[in-house]
Amino acid sequence: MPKFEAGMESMLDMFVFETGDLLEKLDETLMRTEQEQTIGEDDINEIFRTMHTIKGSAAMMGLQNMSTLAHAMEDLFYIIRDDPNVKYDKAGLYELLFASSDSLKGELDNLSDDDIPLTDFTELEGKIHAFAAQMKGESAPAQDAQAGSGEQEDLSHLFPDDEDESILTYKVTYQESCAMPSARGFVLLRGLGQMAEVTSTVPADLDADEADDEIKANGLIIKLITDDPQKVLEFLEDGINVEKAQQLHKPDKTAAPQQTTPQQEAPTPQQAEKAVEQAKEAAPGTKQAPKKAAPKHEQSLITVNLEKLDQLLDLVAEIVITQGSVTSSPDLKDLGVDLDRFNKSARELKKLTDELQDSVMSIRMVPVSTAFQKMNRVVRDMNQKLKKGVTLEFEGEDTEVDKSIVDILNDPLMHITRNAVDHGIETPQERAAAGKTEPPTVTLSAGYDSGEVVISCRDNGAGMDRAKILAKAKKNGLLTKPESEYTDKEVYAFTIAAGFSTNEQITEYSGRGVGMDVVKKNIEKVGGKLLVDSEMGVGSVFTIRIPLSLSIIDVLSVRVGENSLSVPTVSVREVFSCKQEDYILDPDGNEFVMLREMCLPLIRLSRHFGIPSQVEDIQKGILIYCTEGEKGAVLFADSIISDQQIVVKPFSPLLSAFPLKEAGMSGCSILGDGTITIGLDVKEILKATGGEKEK
Amino acid sequence: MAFTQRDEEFEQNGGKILSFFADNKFYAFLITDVTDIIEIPEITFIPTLPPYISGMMNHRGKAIPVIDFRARMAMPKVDYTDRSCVVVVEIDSHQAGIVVDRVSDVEDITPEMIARSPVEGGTVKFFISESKKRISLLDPERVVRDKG
Repeated sequence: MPKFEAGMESMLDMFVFETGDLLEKLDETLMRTEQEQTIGEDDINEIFRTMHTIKGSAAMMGLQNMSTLAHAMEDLFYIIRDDPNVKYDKAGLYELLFASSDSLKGELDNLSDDDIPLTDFTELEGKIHAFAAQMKGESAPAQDAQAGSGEQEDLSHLFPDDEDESILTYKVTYQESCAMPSARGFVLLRGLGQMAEVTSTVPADLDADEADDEIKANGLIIKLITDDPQKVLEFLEDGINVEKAQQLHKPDKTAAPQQTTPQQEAPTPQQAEKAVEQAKEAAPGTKQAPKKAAPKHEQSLITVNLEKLDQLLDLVAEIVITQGSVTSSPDLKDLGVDLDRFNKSARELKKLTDELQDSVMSIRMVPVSTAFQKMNRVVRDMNQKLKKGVTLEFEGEDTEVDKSIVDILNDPLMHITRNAVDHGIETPQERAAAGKTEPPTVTLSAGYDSGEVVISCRDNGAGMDRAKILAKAKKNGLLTKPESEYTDKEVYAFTIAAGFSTNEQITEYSGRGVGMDVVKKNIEKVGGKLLVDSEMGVGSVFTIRIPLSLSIIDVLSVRVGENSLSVPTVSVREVFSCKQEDYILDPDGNEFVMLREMCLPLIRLSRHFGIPSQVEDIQKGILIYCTEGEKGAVLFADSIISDQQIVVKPFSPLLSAFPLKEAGMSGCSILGDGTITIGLDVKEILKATGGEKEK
Repeated sequence: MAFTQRDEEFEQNGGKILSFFADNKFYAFLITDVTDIIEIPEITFIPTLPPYISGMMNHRGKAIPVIDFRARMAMPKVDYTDRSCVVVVEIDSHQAGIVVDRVSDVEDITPEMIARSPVEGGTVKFFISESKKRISLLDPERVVRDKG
């Protein structure tokens, strides 16, 4: 049983995305206003609008629970907006608002899983209502919107004399509890589109501000042409929140006017419209006015499916390659005519395609601030509980990285920030005792460094106790050599190893020692690194380094025979040529190269891969010292082509039967000139040696 | 590989095939399996692969494997001529190129010309008899992926 209105599945992604975005923004506003201690008029209006939008779209999806919760929140701000001087418990208000925002976020996460039932927010709503009541004090009860009722309904206005006989008229009334009948009505109309042609509705414009009130008062009148009136009626009756749906008949003018439907308590739409208009005039600036602004509050941003972007990127890459092959086609050389104008246009074209490539790449870039902002909330919540009063500061939050990296960063950042606040920063008493006067601060910074994104989290807390870490590591059996031989770096690295936590007590936020090693693994999975540094009494720094783009890697391309092979530069330590005296051939036929007191196994790429090559003499080729983990070896190639950036794609699945990966090839890449280079997997190649890094 | 629905339809209603020539015999793919026919491009040798896989070629920005049809069918090796070309086939939305001696024709085949191969899951799916010649209709997947 799906949780939302049938036919809305396609909208789910959009709904989750947009609502998530709105809630994120709401959090930001709340956080800011909480800090500033005042809520400006603009903020109130913005929060009000946000809640209104969430309420509307949730109602559209048929998510009654989210809609009513949003409605309750909206009510709170309705009161504040109405009377900016109203007295209320600020802390209490923010607690409620954050709790509601979290509940909504949680519900969003659960939406796509049909096994999790819709959460019941009644308790939270009760609290909000109680709070609202408290704010209002014993002030006037909710305005009685119901205009004069009890009038006998005159249906004749619904049926103009010249109306076609085939047009049927239906009336749908909604339950009292229905938050946004206009949105519900809109969904109904959409559904009707499949079985009937809707000619008109009353109210005519469901987007209009007063549509909700009008429908509540009079029901929704739908005029349509259909072949199957019964089916239409059933459909209408099945709509969410629909109390009653019925077909209205044109009153017989000659018959008694009493011959109408049982629904007689509501005033005619015209009257209601008039009443609303009067109300508008009488009370400018109440309900209707600010609502009008809501739908127009669109930003100049659009949401694009990442898949489409990838397609676009592929296409652009293809254009760049094709352009290269057109402008440098060998056929042109054979022509033997002057190509001045052609060359000029070709240069122009190249400039344009380069620009095109750059701008497509830049579409995927987003500032890291989106990931940083979320930490504001984490720190705020922890401050509430731990009473540490930590300030969170950002540096370089404008740094732009690939969207996929920001997605990866969210989790690790959360863990590291929590750790910094929980473990890193001392309690105010401890800080006072240590004579620290500066406010406790956690700084998140971002920047680029040699083709990598560097994100670090720095705290000015107690720092790590080397002795304590060592003792703990010993206790957990993590030591592999005598204690005295450990460098500071190695000691601190224990803190991000599996099953390690120096915190005696496990707190709500951290201390189980599972977090950091998972973080480390996740970062390593995408080719990144997690580093720790610390100084007693000064603080600790956790640094995440992730390659700028996950698909583009720096490689050193070398030639072996006819082939171009690319070694990822992360594995390359040194490139050198060697003299005969540094070359060793042992009686077993193993080859070694001496490099500064190290004896390194030599792997000839030509022999390793069985590529025929002319270069056999060790002095004529080029040697590349590579390390991967503990292993190191020297690769021998004919010559260096260049160091460059390539996009390595795995081999075609059609070749899955062959052990290419095991042989040390991670994939292949098409270069700018259309030729193919093979990406090497140094780890696999080094497996063949069994050699140690140092001997 | 079992017969796909497309194969069943072909057997019943006939359809178009792309026939080609290798070592004096006619072979063919269903036209629906073929995406392109191109000149022999630059082929990059990929080590450790069996000899019948010539390597990879750059086809519309993608690196796809190239199979030498003669080598695959254990026919004597000959040099490529200007009539040799690559037939690009699509298997489960992945492409592969197959180098053939020369492409012959796109032919309309009627059901009575088709005889199903008695070998289930073989490289040849159907034998097609025309007045003067016999064409073996191949399963591209079996040509590209040697499951033997």
